Amino acid sequence: MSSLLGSLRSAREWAMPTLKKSAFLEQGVLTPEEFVQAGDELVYKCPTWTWEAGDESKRKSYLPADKQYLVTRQVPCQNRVSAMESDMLMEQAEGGDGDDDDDWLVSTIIQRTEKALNLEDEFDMLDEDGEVIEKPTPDTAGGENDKSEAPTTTDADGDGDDDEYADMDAFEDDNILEDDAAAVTPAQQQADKDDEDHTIKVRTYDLSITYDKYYQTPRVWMIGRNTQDQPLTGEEMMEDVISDYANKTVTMESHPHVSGPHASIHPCQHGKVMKAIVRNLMKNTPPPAETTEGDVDGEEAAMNNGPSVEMYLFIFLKFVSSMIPTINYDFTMEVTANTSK
Amino acid sequence: MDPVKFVPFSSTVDSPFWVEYCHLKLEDIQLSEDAISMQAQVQPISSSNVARLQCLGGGSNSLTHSVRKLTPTAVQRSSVDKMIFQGNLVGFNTLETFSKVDKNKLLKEHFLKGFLSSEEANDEQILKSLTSFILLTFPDLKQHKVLYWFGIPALMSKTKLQAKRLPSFSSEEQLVLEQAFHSFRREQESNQLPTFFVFSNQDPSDIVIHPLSKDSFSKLSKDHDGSAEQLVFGFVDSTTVTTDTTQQVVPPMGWPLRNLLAYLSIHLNLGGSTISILSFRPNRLHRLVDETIPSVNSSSNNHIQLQMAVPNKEDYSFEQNNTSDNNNPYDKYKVVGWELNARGKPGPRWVNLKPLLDKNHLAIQAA
Repeated sequence: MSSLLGSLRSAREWAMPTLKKSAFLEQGVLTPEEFVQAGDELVYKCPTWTWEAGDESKRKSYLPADKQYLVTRQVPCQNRVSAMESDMLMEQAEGGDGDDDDDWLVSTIIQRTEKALNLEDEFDMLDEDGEVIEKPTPDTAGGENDKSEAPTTTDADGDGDDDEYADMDAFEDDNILEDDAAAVTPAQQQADKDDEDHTIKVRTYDLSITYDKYYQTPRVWMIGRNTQDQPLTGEEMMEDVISDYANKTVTMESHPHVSGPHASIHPCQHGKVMKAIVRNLMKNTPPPAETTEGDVDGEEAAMNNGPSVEMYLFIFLKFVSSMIPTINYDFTMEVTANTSK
Repeated sequence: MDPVKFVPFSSTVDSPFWVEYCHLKLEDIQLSEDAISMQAQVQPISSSNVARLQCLGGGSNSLTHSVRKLTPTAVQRSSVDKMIFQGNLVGFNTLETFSKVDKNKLLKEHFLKGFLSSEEANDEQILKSLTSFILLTFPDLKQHKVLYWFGIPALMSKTKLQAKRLPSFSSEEQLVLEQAFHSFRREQESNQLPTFFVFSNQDPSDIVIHPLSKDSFSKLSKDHDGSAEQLVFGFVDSTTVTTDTTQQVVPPMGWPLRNLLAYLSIHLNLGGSTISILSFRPNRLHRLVDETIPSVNSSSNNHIQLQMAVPNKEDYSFEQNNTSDNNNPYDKYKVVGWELNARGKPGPRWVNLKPLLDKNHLAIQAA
């Protein structure tokens, strides 16, 4: 299914002529050259992002061979969106008076970071089979007696297909460990004091941005892993997408450069949204020295003062984070600051 | 002199890599258990504490198989900002062979085959072996699971490696060094970042960095009457464990330093001498298009300079007595480096690819 869509998509991309003329400010789209330019800026400013060459056979000729798509790996995603959404709803209900649509979102996000740790206990963690992992409740966490059963999955004997791997002791081989005093073994130290281990294991995502030639915009792909470093299913990944978009704007498709199904944000609205954001940014910009409002010249002058192409991906990623708000990827840059230049 | 500790690599494998591997296993590799050459990358700047050896999907790992007639070097690197480790993937067909195989022997042979290649011309090969790895797998195609185990070999020495930490760089020295490293990156012809380099420290205001090789060593040491005293051997260290600013303590060093010392001892005959080591820990890499790096300097001073005694050749030999018939030249060496599993024990890890490979699962998901 997804591969069929994938081949349709590539046929359509093939038929679409490559965009030559810059139309970032007018239509919110990018040429491949501008995508590379914006990507370079992103990689430079946020070193967690890198360019990838991808599979040679899947290479796109309109992009440089070594700059086919952008990747950031192992992005932490601590909470599920559902928890965040229910939080918002509660807040809306509570703050009956003066519910100002602009304010509540901000306050919730601030509140979320404060509550992050509590929430970790409030919702269920899922293991790779979608089964609930039983967590110790805060009351019993202190007691040592239940620690043996706490981290094990309730499904260990369910469909029986991971029995073979459930007990990894069987494969451990102490003969391997030569007397190597010179090696630091942080994992070993950690295992010893597992109970006092305060690092929270979270889901991680690998995010990539490709250039969609048909829509002439960047396109975001994601593939996740659970707390045990096992790949997430599509359904589990949808838990990290705002529910309005899950399975609608965000769907499972095969990535144009690497194998395996990825969750992807469909780019059909990207151009429009980017155009709207850019327009808003420019509106907020104090008009240039010679203010001739209304006539064509003034508008053009304002266009020239819009954000540069290098800014595209920063603005884009800020916009994307509204759909996947719990995935904390790096796009740290003051987008507003640059509008005033 | 303080004893030096080394931080092992920690491996991460992209899920798409496994997907590609399973397809390859079905279509091309089939029942062959021959080693497949592959590549992994190490980023010079690590976001976590430990250096990560990453196997990526999308062919950038260049998981090649003889059937496909691809050469590993044919794949273009995305930039010169990564260090590429060459490795072998050994896939087993049964769980039993995976468990029973003598892993220490495998790792040893994998490392020494490159490291001890005797021909003089093979310097490049030897240097490559210093940063190599081996990946054992048992792909369980029926259950969509892969059992895997990484080994990143390091040659053991009998003596404890000891070092004295030299004073940190002043901000001017650091700038000179980083500028030199930037030029070094710009001059690289290959499309990857060399892990090891060497430069002369005679004039600290004018440093020219060369990639480590027998040639550059003999050229540089000739300027100093064959002594290595003025030379600094550097390696790119993505370990960031404890940015301890106290000058006395030697912080944990990156894993590649062990093999660098072995190379200096066995191949450059520097055993017994005291040399300078630079653990180069960049904060950020600058754009290659820029000719000079901006002089506004980052305040943090991460690079660490050490004075170390290179072990003697004999220190690497674990031969009990001379009676052993020299059938196998590898016997006397000891190589370590099997990765520990999530519980900190020597053992393999496994990955469940059901969400990505199981046809039934994918069909339900697509519906």
